[in-house]
Amino acid sequence: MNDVPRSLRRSGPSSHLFRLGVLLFLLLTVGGIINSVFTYRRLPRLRVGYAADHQQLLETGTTGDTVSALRTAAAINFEDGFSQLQLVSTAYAAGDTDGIVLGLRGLLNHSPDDAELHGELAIVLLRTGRLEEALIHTRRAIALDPNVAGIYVTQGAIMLSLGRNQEAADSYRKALELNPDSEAARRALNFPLKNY
Amino acid sequence: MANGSTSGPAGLTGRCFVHPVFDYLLIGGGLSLIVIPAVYLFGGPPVMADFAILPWFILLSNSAHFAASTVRLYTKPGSRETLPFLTMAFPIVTLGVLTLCIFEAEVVGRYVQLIYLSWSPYHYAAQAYGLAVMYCVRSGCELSSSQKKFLWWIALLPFLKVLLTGTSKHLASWHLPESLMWGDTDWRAWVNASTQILGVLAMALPLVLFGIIWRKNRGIAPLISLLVILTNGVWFVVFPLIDGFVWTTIFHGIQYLAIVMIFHVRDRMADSDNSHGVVYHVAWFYGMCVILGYALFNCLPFGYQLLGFGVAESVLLVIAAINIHHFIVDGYIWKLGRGDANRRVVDTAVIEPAIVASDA
Repeated sequence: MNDVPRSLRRSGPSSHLFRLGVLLFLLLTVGGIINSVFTYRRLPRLRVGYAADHQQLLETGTTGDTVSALRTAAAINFEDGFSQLQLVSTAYAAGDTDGIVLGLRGLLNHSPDDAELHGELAIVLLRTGRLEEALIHTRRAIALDPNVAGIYVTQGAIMLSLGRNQEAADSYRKALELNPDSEAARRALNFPLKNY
Repeated sequence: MANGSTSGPAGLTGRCFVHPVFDYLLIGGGLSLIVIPAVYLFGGPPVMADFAILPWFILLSNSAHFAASTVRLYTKPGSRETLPFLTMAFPIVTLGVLTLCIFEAEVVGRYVQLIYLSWSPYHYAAQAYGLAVMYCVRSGCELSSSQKKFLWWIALLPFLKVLLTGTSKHLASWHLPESLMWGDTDWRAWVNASTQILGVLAMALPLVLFGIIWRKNRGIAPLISLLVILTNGVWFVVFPLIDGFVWTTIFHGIQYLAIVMIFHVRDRMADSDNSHGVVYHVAWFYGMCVILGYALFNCLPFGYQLLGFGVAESVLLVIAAINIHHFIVDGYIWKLGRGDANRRVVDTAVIEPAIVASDA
């Protein structure tokens, strides 16, 4: 055995590995062609990404399947803002909070200076009880655009949930200052925060 | 042909492989400097006005270029002996790792995606550097080791810019605490300023280096070497990140296919058993690249879907795996070591026009 050149000794198992690799690749490729022919009655089409498949899923699939597929797509394809947007809108329709948070966080990576997105994420985080995170996003939203009444209402609700009543009252007053018709701010100041 | 000889100075144009027009437009990336402004001028900001042709364009340029490294690996003389792991074991290793990643797509998928998206501009930079040095070597412009090092870091600047942008946008958001990510410190402004500085340096430093070479070496480096570095910079510096990726993918693919086919044809024409002409070898190589590109990008994801995986993970992770496989294979097949088949091609003159004509 030692007389056999090293390159020849190595070539046995190496070529087996190579054949196995090629065989697996061929099985997957031919399987893919058969899958396409049976599913779509045609050879695999030239596709750019998976948008068309997801569109079909949105039209024909169940909500659970669709949100799950969109979540996977948004988790992997973080560079694609459209994936995140599609996930947010579908997850809202399905009431899937984790999906909404994932999509909004993905969108924020693309548009970190979008006050509206920060505000929206803060509301979702508030509803799920993630108060500290929600507060960070309301502060960011206010820093980016301090003239939106809605974000002060959200901040007031977070402060109220945290038991920081004086800060909650200040936030609601600021909301009323910007929007005197704000029912939520008026109600909060009239009842739980009457003495602040 | 005036620039066909490998001896003597090659002048400003440099010693081209096929013809200065071909080399400057396709390999140097000059075509992108004509096409991209034209598209923006006449078609508006969308990258591809007519999306109906986009899949075909991607198959014939981009997918074919990814397949080209594998076709080259198995057709390059001596590669099976010198690269046993890459040629024999790497295909099954890649398939195995890809399958495992698809199983855990929601957990590892984004990291695989991040690796491939970050590696891409590095790969483009390395290719631009390699081509620039290769044209210098062919044109008789000897670069000192410090000049090569300087050129390498200049070529990497667009990659560093993309890496900084991607890391700050995504990797940071996955791992930094929310308070740091969205706190009062405006670190994004620093990142933006840094990327802009990197962009300016990527455009200016190549000119500085080529000035230094001209003064110190008492001979000018070929303009195509400067062009190839500058165009890679333009793709990533001038355009927004996503547009940059699309344009780079397209023109890098064309650049790659042109140079890899030159090497393949040269090897085949030098083979003593060869009985075909240039057109046959070009058609054979490109045909194989298109077929393999179609199988990899369009059939393989359907194979994983047949196994029950979702369309997103099947498509996205197959694309990422093909990219990473291409980058690794590329790191080996372009070595210019002494005795390597590539060295012979770089050192030899242009394809004889007579050979081309006889085949046409």
